[in-house]
Amino acid sequence: MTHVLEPLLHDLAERFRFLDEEISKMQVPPEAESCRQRIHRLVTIGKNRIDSVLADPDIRRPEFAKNFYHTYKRLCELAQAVDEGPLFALSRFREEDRFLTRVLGAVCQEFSFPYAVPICAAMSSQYYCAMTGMDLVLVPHGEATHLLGWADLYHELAHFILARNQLGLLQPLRKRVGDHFQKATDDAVRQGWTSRAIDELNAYRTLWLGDWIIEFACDWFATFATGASFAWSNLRLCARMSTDVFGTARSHPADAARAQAILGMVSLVATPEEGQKVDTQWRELLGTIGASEPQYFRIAYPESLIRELAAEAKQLFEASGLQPYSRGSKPIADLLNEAWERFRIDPARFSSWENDQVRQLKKNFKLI
Amino acid sequence: MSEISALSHEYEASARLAEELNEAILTIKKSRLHQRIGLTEDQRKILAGTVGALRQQLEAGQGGGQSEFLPQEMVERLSERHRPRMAYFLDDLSRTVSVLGNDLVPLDDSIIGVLDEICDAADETASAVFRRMRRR
Repeated sequence: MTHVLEPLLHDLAERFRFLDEEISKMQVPPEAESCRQRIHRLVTIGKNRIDSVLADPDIRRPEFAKNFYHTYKRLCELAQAVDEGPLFALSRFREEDRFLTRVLGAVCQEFSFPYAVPICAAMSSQYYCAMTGMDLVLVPHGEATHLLGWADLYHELAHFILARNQLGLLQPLRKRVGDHFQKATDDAVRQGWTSRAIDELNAYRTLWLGDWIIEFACDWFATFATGASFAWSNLRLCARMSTDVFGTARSHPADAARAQAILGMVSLVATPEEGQKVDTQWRELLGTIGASEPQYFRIAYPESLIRELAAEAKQLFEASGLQPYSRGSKPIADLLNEAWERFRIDPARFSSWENDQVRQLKKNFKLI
Repeated sequence: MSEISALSHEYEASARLAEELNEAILTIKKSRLHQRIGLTEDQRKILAGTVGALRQQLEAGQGGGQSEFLPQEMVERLSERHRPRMAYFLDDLSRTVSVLGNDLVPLDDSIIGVLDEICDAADETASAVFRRMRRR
């Protein structure tokens, strides 16, 4: 009798052959062709790997079973991710997606994105999101024609940059976080904090070093590359979706802490007046919600740490060749900043101006 | 912005680590079985670096040093599993780093056992994150 894994490996090999055939024969618009080729290469690697496992003379040895099972699982995940992600998006690639992918390409060029441009499809049910391993950015259907959320594209692109350069970009930030909390813990011990309070401090450090620093860094990058427009976009998102702006989740820091961090970067890349305007509106929003800062908030999100990290992040981005926003030099980022200015001055007439701008962009890209 | 991006980032890191560890273990096991050359000196050093980073992160929840940062969920799995005997596990990791760092010392069963265990944790983490991306 064959080992349980062997037929499963054959099943997976068949699935890879199917994916290979689908992607090979797929006709996509020029904007998506390089992505199609990259995904095809990934599928080919997966297909070859599964074939090599099937041909491995040690496949039936019990001491190897678990390792081949691990290989099988990673390849299953690859096949599923391709199927549900880029293959799904490419097989339904519409005019809106072509347009958004062109916008993403222009954005990438403006700040010198160091990798191949992902494709962007307007088919998300999860707001803006990035599938970093699949070169795919998803946005909700309506975003193709609405400018005010586009600054979030920069946040999503930052996920690609950070995932691919952890040592150069995230590690120095993590070191600063580690050093800060080490000192805070030492001070707490000296001052006789309770062990429970010290445990909480350690828990914040763990959260910072995990997902939080990634989200903060993505926010800093988006602000670095688009200026105040990302701060406005974040404020709108918080107003729309926050349930508790001071609430903390494992995967995301509190919205209020993120707003503070974004303002920290705004102060480094935009004029003080712009930062002041966002800050005033943010405080108005807090007053409207009736949210007040909980006692632990400054322990979890120390102001000095956030300020230092924002400054270091800016230096790291620049040192890696990424270009900061400066008014008048980046057409898409300029457009987003202008959109927010116009929207705030005359929200009732904004929509007509926005439609004209989207139409003009499509013309510039020769899509109409 | 959505949790998917954070999970995607996390999945990529844990899946890559799981794959690297698994490939290294397969190479070691095959070299022992077939009496052939196993990991190169550079591959041993990289693996030693990974195990050393794990040790650093496990020890008092450290991290944020100059070494590679391993997925937190994987570290927590190992931490949970070894909580009652953490000092022994840290010793095992130290020995693994030391043996991997010396190309002349052969990799024995206990070293493979430690690597297998780390690989299992990386695999479980990758699978768990992958599922979370789809069953939220």
